Amino acid sequence: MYYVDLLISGVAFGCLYAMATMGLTLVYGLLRILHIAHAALFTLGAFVGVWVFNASGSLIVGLIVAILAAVVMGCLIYRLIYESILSQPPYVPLLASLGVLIFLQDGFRIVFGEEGLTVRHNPFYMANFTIGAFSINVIYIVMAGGALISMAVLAFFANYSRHGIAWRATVSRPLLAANFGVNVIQVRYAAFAAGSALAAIAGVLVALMNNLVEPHSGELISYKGLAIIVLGGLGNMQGAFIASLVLGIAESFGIGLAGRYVDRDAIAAVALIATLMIFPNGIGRART
Amino acid sequence: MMRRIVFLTAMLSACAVTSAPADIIIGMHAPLTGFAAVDGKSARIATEIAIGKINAAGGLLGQKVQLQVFDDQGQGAQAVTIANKIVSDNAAILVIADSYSEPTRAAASIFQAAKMPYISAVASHPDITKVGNYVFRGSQLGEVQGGSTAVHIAKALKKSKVSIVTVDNDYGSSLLNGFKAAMGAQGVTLVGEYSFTMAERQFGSVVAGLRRDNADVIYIGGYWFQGGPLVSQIRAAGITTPIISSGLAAQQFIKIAGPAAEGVMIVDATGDDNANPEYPAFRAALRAQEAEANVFFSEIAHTAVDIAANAIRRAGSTDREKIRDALASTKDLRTMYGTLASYTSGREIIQRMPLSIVKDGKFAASGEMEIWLPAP
Repeated sequence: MYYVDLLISGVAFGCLYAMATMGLTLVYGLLRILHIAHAALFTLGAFVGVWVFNASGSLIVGLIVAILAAVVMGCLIYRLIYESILSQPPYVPLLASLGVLIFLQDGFRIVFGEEGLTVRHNPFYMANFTIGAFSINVIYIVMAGGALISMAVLAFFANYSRHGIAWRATVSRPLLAANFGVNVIQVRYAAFAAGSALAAIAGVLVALMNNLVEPHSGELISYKGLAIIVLGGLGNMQGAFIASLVLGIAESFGIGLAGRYVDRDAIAAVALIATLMIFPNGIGRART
Repeated sequence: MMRRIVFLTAMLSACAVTSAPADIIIGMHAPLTGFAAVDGKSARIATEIAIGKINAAGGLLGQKVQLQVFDDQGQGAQAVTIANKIVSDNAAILVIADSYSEPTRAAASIFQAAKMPYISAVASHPDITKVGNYVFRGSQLGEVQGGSTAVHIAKALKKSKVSIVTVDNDYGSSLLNGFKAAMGAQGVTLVGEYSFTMAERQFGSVVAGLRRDNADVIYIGGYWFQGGPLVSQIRAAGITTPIISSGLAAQQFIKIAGPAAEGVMIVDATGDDNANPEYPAFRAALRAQEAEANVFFSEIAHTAVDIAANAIRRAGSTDREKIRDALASTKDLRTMYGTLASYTSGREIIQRMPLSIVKDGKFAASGEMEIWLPAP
C-alpha cells in the first residue's frame, strides 16, 4: 500500500508538472527561448485565483480570472520583453526571463504580502476518496484529471484544428509557414496564451493542495521546468509529458526512500543526468 | 585664518555632539527580507513595541533607548557582516538576535570576541551559547523541547509509537537529537523518521510513509509555512493520528491548516491564553500594526528586550561586563513568554514549559509539560 501511495502522489505530481511546464515547451519549440519567467505565471495564477475565490466564493470564477490574468501577463512578457530581443543570442532572452521572474516575485511580495494568501473555505480540506483500506485526497484526482484533460484538449487542437496545423508548421519551418500565409505572430501569442493558462490552472491546484500561495511558490517549477524540457527533448510535447511523469514518480519514490539524504530538486537533477546519459537527446526527439 | 575658524568650529561642534547625553543603543538583527521575512517583521515590531514602552516610562538609567535594526536575511554570511559592523561601530551596549540558528551561530563568536552581551532570542541550536560567557539564550533549547516532548508522549499521553517529521536545519536536528536522547528511558520508539527542506510544501511521500507507520503520535518540528501545508495534507489523506509539534505556534499556521489544525498540540507555547497582565495590550499593539502573523516570535522578541532591560537596570551602568554579569544573575523575571526563573551556568534559561492546543481556531493553554534536560 505504501508503494501504491507513493506511485499515486508521483503520478499526480507528474501530471501537474506536465501541465505547469507545457508553456516552457511551447515557447521553446517556437522561439528557442528558455522562458523561465513562466514560473511567475504559475504564481500569478495561484494568487489571483485564490484572491478571487476568497472574494467571490466561487472556485470557477477564481479559476477563470486566474487564467485570464496569466494569459494577459504571458502575452505581455512576449510583447514587451522577448519580441525585441528575438535576434539576440539565446542567453540574452534567458537572462531577461530570469529578470522578469525576480521582478514579478518581488511584485507579488509587495502586492499580496510576504506571508502569502490562504484559501478561506477550501473544498478539498478533508475531501477523501475511499475504496476499502485505500484512500486518497480528491485534490490528487483533480490534479491528475485536470492535467490529462487540458493536455488532451491541447493535443487535439494541435493535431486537428487549422490553428494547430499552423502552429506545428511554424514550429518546424517558420519561414516556409510564413510564406504560406500563416500569421506567425498570432501563433506565438496563441502559444504564450495556452501555456500561461495551463500554468495558472496548475498554480491554483497547488494552492488548493497546500492551502497556501507564497511569492516564491513558482520555484516549484522554475528550474525543474528546464530539466523537464531538456529531458523531454527540447520543444517536444509528448516527450515533455513523459519526462514530467518520470520526474514526478522519481521524486515521490526518491523522497519516500531517501528523503533524509536528498531533497526534491536534487532528485530532479539526478534524474536529468541519468536520463541524458542514456538518451543524450532527451526522451523525445529534440526539435533543433 | 578663515580656514582655521572653520576648523575650530568643526572641532567645537564635534565636541558638542560627543558630550551630549547619549542614548542607550541596543542592536538587533532579524530576517527582515527573504524566506523568513514574516518572522522578522513579527520580531522587529514586537521589539519596537517593547522599547517604546520602556522609553514612555522614562527609559533606562535616565536615558532613552535607541534600537538599531539590521536585516540578516536569515543567512549566516549576512549576520557576520552585521556583527562586524556593530562591533566596529562600538555604539551598542547589547545585541539581540531575533533570527534563525544559522545566522545567530555565525554572529555569536564575533560578539563573544568583542565582549558584547548577546541574547539569542529565538534560535535554539545548543552550540550558540557554548561560544562563550557573553552569549545568552532567550527561549527554550531545541533539544529540551524535543526531549520534553518524548517525556510528554510517554507520561501524559501514555503512547509509545512515534513518527517524527522535522525540518532539515539546525532547529530540526536539535529537536530530533533531544527526542532521541530522551525516548529510550521513556519506552518511546520511533516507527518513522522524515525530514524536509526549508522550501518544501508538497508532502505526498511523507504522508504515504506516515500512513504506513500507523504510529500512536506524529511529532512535527518545523515552521508554520511548512507545518500548515503538512498538517493539512496529513489530515486530507484521512490520517487521524494525534499530532504534537514544535515551532508551529504562529497564527499563520492555523490560517493555513484551517480545520486540519484542530487538536494539534504545540510544545512550549501559551498562545492566546498568555497570563501576563500586559499581554492583551501587547496583542492590541501588534494588531494595530498588522503584525499578528507569528505571535510566538513576537512574544520571544519582546522577552529578549525584557531580559536586556532588566539586566541593564540592575547593572546600573552601560558597562558591558556589568551588564553581562547582571544577565547571568537574572532571577524570577516575568516576561511575555513566561517567568524566567534563572540562567544555568551554560546561560540557558530555566523556565517552565507550557503546552497549548489548537481549539476553535485559537491556541488554548493546555497545562504544562515536564521538563527534560540533556545530560551536561
